[in-house]
Amino acid sequence: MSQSTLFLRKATGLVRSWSVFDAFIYAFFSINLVTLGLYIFSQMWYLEGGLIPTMIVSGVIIVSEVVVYAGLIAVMPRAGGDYVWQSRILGGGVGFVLAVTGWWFILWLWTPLYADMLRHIFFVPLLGIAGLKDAALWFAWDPGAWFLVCVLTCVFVTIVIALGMKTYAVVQKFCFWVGNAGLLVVCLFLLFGNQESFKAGLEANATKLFGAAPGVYDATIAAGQAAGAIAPLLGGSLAAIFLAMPYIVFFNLWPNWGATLYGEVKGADDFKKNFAGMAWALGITTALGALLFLLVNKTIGWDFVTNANAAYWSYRWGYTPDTPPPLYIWPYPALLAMFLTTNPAMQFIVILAMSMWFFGWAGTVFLSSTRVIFAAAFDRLLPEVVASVEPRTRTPIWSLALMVVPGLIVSALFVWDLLGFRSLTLASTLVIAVTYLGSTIAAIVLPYTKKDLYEASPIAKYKIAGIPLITVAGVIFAAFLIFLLYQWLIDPNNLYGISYRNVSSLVFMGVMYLLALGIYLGARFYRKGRGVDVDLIYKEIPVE
Amino acid sequence: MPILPDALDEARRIITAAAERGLTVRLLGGIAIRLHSPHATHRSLTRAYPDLDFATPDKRSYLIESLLAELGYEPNKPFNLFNGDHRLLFFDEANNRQVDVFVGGFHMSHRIPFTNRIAVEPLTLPLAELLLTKLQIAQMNEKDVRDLCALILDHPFGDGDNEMVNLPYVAKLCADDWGLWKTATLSIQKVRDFCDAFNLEPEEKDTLLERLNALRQALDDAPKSLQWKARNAIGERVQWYELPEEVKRG
Repeated sequence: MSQSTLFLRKATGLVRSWSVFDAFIYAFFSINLVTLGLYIFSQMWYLEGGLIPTMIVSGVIIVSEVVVYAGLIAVMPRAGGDYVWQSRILGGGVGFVLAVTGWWFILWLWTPLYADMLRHIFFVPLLGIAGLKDAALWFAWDPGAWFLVCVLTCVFVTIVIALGMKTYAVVQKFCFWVGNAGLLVVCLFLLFGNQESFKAGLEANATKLFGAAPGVYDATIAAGQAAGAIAPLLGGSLAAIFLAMPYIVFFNLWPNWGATLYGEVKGADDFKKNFAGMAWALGITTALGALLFLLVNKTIGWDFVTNANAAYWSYRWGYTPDTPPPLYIWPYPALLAMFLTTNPAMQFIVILAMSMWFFGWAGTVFLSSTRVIFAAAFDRLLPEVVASVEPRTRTPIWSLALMVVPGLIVSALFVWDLLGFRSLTLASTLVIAVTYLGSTIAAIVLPYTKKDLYEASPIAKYKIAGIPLITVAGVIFAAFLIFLLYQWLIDPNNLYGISYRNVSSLVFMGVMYLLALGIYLGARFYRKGRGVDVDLIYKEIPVE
Repeated sequence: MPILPDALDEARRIITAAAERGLTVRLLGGIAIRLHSPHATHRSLTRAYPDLDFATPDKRSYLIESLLAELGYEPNKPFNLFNGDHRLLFFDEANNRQVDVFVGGFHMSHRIPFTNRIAVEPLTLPLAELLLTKLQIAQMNEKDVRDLCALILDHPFGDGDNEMVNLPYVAKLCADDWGLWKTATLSIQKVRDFCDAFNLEPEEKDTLLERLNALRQALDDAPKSLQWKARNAIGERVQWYELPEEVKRG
């Protein structure tokens, strides 16, 4: 007999929808250099911490977040992620309130932010290159156009989520390769271009495509200086670097964004694979960001970029209402790089390829959230119907409706700046950071409060000086989150605009937490009246 | 009508009820092989059937969900919510039996398409697909070997599907997919290695080995696709199969 062997495989098996590589791409897009990164970097023009050191130092700290989440996933790879972990480790009330605010309600606020990025990296540059200057500028500045993009974003996201996880993985894989090919071409233009050819290209293209007045380069530098642009590319004191982090985490705090989906990822109980997927996403994105901005510095000039950002945002935020930015559009670095050519076909193709960074990522605004809603519904904290799909298309219409409808209402408030909503950009990150803090505390105490579960898990063997690795990493990440929350909420240097001094921010966040608490208490009361003890549900680990 | 305790009777009831609603549902797995193969009840090859496995084309699979619920099955709601576009699970509490529905294709260690040929047989997938769903298993257990022995002992290989295994079709699928070919050839070897354990009559064993040789020969002789050749160059250095993960009952 040869060395053939037989196995004791049980009857039912499932090949889960996503591979580890799919999870990596989701993490890679979640800390999206081209959308989140370029968008928030452009708003940091008045900070003194160097962009590259801030990216690197924050990235190193965020490795502790990756350890925390890779560990939690390995222990309990369940749809719903943070909600399941917090509700089972810290208790149902805390878990529900923190998870639904951080993974559901606050995503309403992200809707207009996603749309803002879409219009600036897709509609405005492509319409301008296509010769439709007026349409481009309408998308760039008109609130109605921005709201239209909010609607289109919701429609696109609904479609890609409705296609199911397998098709979603195909879409994001396509976007990953095309988007990175686009970025490679942008980098090659920057590598082989020089500042003189950029100045000439800017003058030629900005005036032709977007109606900028001649002398746009010098005018932009002057406008930026007048606005107070100071952000360096490199350097900055350690204090300045840390003070830039409450901004930069808008971009890189999310390598764990797929945490709620790991019930659908192959081999999710493998700590090393989970860690590698998220850590590689973080590392590669940080390296790409550093590379891109070094090339931008070489050919476009960091000075020009910072001043262009200052000129744009100071006007848009109303600090310099009488001084429109000379470039008159958001200074999208990829578009600036493509000003190195006057070939419109080349410009169009590359900017279109770069827009795949949006389309491969857009689903993240609601996809992870739907799993939290499903998990809460399985626990009977939400009506059962929200964990159902429309049978013909398998679209989770109820959970999507709970995202899309309020998302469009908040979009309207944000777009037309009603009740001071436009000042809330960083609140989108703060509320999620609070949720992460809950999961991080759950991770810290897990080895002690759920000893059996922990000891039986694949992470039990990882220790530092006898202390569980997940606890050590949790303490580091919790300290970082507490620092961020202090800076956002107290803001002693008045840098971030969402502190206790911003009443709109406090009211908005307060309403969300009260709404979550109200739903939790209401659901408990309702279920108790029907003989269901919610506390008993939270004592059980949900099935896979 | 309540769920029937006998698995075969219950399978027929489900297929009939589906047909009455205009739905195409076919059996696969061990119980399907038992329907076709008298040897499956041979004292040495008999085994328990804890599950009923069905295949259905993806169109209107939502009607299968409502049908099985009407027939008395408890759906695994979380599982079906996340996987319902390709798999559905139901449970029969009274008989402690699970119903597993493959939607639009069979995907375990390898992918086996079935939509285009689903109507070839009235109750089950065609014999070629039944064979392939067993040969594609990367981690075979004893029940899989018993099923393969029964299926191959009772059915000659030929060019059609009428109570024979459509060998050109099996060979063609394996010639397009190196991974499937590799696992199938390993599975053939496993059946050779373990068939002694089942106390088959000498002439039965001769028949089995002769047919296994013919199957292996056909898999090797079929002209291979470019994709197959490219993957063959990489060989076993890269894992060529997927390992399905266990699903706990919801």
